[in-house]
Amino acid sequence: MIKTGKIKFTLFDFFFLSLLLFLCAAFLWKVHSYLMYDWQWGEIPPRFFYFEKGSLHAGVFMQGIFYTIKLSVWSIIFATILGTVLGVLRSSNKLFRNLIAMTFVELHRNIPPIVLIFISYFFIGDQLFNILHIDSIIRSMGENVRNFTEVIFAPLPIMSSFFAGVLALTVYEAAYISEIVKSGIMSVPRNQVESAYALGMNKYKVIRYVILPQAFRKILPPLASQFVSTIKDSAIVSVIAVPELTFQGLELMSATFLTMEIWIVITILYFILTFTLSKIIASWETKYSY
Amino acid sequence: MFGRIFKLLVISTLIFTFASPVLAESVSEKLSNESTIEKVIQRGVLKVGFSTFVPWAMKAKNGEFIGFEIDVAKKLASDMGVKVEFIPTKWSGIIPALLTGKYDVIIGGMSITPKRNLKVNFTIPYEYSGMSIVASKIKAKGMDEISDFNKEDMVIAARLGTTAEVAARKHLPKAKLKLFDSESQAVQEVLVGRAHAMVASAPLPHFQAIKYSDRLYVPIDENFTKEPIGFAVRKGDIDTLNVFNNWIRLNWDSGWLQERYEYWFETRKWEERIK
Repeated sequence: MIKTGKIKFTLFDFFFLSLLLFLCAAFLWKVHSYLMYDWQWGEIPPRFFYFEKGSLHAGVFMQGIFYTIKLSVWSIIFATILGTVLGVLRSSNKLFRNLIAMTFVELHRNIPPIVLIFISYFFIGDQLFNILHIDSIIRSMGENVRNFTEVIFAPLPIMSSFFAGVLALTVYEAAYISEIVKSGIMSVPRNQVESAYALGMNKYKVIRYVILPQAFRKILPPLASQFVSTIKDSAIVSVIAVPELTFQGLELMSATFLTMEIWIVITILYFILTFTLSKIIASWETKYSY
Repeated sequence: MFGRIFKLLVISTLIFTFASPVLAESVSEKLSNESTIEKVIQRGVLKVGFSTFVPWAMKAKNGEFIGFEIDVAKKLASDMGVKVEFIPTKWSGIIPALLTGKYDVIIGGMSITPKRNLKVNFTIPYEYSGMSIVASKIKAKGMDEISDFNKEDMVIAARLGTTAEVAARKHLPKAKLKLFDSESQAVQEVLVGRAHAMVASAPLPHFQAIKYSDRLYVPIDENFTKEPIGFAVRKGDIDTLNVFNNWIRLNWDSGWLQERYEYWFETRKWEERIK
């Protein structure tokens, strides 16, 4: 039946939900007795915030979330820019532009992200850093600049890993975003473009004022799910020791052996991050829809 | 035209032939200028790579790194008059990351093995570690010899790429080996009974046996291997090796290294800094 108006809560729903809750409880009990695990939930809260010398400090989980957010935000920004450019190139009718964009997209869509991360960590990240002397440039700058780069990117010791991670995520996500942008552009009716040209707009203006605004509305939902994907994919960056949520969790597990508690907390934290982002974008969708 | 090119070739060959002794003389000078130690002094920062191993190096509650290695690296840096930067790395990628220059030295409880030594240079040992075993009370009851575990139906857990893996392969060739990325996963495997025992460097097996005394026990009290632990540096850097070797000799003779080792490996006073 198609949804009309308010959703009703019936007796069937009540029984179904009770059954579901019961099954969950049974499952958890089974896991508990099978693992014979020594739960120590008391050790988790200080990993979020803890008191020391009378002031409140952020624990490793908060630092991890902060890095996951930084990593995702930079990757989303760069990937959106790169993806849009590639998407426009892909919908061009010039063979050269089309081929360039297609090569990039197909190359990066068909390589597992973890491989991209290792390539950018071992081969590209350091070379780029050494050629541009970024390390010594930042070191030679004043305390303020250093603190600033530390907050918006990462502290110097892990700066090159951080950028390697952002680079890998950017090219990976950009490949998908370009496909989304391309399909959005293709969905703008041909006669719109022709009318715009007839009104005397130049090519740039047609793209900027006619195609992209219309495409934008169409691509917002798939783009949003790509952003959510970026947050999830950022977990892979843990393999190159960027201190994001997963890596912090793994380190903590090595030190404290609280395997189960930490994985459960990480699961919940990722869910909160991605779910919040989906909700925010869903509210934009209603705002920008006709 | 050709004559001119020929003349140019001859002159440039001559220049290079006569200039090469001059170049050769500066090679040793160049080497010492390009050594890691020189770069560390200029930068004012020693970058140290390591991976989390309890109690060699681990994260304290406040997010700082603590452990035996951390103490060693801090003292090394302060004796050299530079700051120290810690770069945590995954164990599986610790040598490639040293070779690509992510850090200057690995101070990470790394045992000196011939295989590793082909890729990096090691200092003289600054400590010795040994492999020990912790077994499940339920699945592997009443064993008291290492050969008891060397049977086809035994499943042994260890951390991937460590000397625990090497020791298990060597001493327990018949047992089935299960490898994990971290020790916590390996312990979990023994706790739930999917593996009979776990091999790891002492004192971790003992700590785990104390923590889960109702399910785990240490079948053999002594370690069954003895392994030298050294700093790892990039190959062909004699200056850096010399500085580090002599630093180790000094601190060994003064007893500082042994004293720190005792604190981290024989007491558990540091536990409250983690919990």
